[in-house]
Amino acid sequence: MHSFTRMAGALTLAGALAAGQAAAGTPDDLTGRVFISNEWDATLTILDGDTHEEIKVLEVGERPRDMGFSPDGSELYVALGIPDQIAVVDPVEMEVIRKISGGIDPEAMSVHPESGHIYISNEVTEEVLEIDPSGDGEILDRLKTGIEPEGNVVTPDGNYILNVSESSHMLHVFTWPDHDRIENILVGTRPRELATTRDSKIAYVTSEVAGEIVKVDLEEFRIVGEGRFRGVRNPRPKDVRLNRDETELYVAMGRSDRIAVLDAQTLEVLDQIPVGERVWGLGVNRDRTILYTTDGDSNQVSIIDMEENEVIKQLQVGDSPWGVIRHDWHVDDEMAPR
Amino acid sequence: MRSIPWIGRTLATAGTAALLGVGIGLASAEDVTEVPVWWVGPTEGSVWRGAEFGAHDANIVGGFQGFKVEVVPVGTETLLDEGVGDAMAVVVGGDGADADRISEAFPGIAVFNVSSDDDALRSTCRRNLFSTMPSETMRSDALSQYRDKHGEADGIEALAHHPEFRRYSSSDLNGRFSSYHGEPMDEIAWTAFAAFKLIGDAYPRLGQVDPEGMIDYVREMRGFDASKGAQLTFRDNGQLRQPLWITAGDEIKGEAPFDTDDLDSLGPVECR
Repeated sequence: MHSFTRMAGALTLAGALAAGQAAAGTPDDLTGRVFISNEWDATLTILDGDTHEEIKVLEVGERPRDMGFSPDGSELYVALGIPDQIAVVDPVEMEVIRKISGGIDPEAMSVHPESGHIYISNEVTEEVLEIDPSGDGEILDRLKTGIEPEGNVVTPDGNYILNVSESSHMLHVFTWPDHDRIENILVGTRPRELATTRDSKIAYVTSEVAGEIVKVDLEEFRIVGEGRFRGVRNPRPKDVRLNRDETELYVAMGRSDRIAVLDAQTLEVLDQIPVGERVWGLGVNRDRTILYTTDGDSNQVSIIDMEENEVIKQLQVGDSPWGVIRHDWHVDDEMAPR
Repeated sequence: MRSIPWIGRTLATAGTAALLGVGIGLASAEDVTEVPVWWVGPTEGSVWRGAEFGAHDANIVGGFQGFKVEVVPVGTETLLDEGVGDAMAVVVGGDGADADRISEAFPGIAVFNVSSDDDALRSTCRRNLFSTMPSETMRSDALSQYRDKHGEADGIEALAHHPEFRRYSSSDLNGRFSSYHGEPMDEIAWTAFAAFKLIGDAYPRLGQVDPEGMIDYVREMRGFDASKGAQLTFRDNGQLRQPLWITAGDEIKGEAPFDTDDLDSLGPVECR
């Protein structure tokens, strides 16, 4: 439960922590390691953040997919689709600490920056669950969504939980902490993922089958821009991230086997970066200068210099890598950028 | 069977909404608009289960967006005699000849053929007639492509859907269907489902029961999703442009087209 009182306005998370949250480490406490979930290997591949060499393959549980860190960075949560659990991993010791309930077929998740609770999509029951990761994973609330809820993001200011329902083509907006669903915005066919700006005012939503991305104003709750990936053959956008100054978007294009770089204002394609087959998940480093891509059908991760837009390294990981996250951002600075 | 044409209307009472099974707590009862769709075909068996499930899926969206698709069974002769009223569309799950007659009699409403694979139905090129079932030529082209690549194979079929197919979220779709009905989702269940899913996609974007708008929506849409991994659109001849699965019994042998991603390599494209 919350250990402090939520304050109005632009309360910084650093302030929140000082107000009573358990003391958190500094960014220096974080390992910089890169964690990759291998969907059909039941493992995480763990890379050294400097050398990008593999340092461990951790048995984590069947069908690992999305991941998230606790606000203080001391725990990594991994959705396990087959045993219906969430694995809690110590990112320093690189061991599974415990496993907690994940609902049914847990997939995409986001961790609330203040409560530390996990919000996770359950496709089968058409819900986002709020789970307290302490103890055995008590389900605190169930947020009703459309069919096949997928991408799930808590806005950096903590005010909203955003979820897209794949087969109902909607962006659902829930308030925090009350969980009132205040908007169901129709977007393109089969929305998959989303990212928000640091100020929590804009969300970008990809739609895989429509082959488009929309820009959603989170103050007016309306679509203010649409991009159709002109010049990209057979576009199938999935995951999306913003660069450091939030002028550019990096979009994983699925079976187009490339990353599309878009102007964040016009949503026009600026560049295309070939990677491996069926590129799906994305992760960035703290400075948002390095992009990690999971190339699912190549069993590969590509590492991209976001200033040069060049692949600087590719390495084999486990079977069907799904997600990637780097342990070097910290809650007292900003949310995990996505 | 209902013989009185329905009028799309806003339901006023919570009691009515509850009776209709609208997702209470999602859209308020005052906001729920009824979207009637005529159903011409059997009210049992696979095709009917697909229609029911398609309406069910559409109405999950409707629970959020304030509408409810009503499947209204009607006989062909009744429909021809009394008119289509203010229904959103007609879905024909029986004889292809019925789809032909109804679409000719009522050019201002979309008629979905979900059961006949007769090429002649496509060759009418009627603006308001759409087929979610693949045509005979689409099937034969898909089988020819498979044989060219893999040689003769006994007992293979080319189908729009198969309950054992798992890619492109088909496993989720098959799972939801079998949970709902206790039966596997076969091809004709899928073709009926797809028509209702499309109607459910169109309504909130049109914002009203608009049969002419529905025709334009289908003609101009950039694609809809029915768990086939592709943007599904209709050809000028009204045929759903779609990949087909090559199957032998419960085994999935491949996905047509082969060696190309051109869905128009299956079946005729132009109006004849």
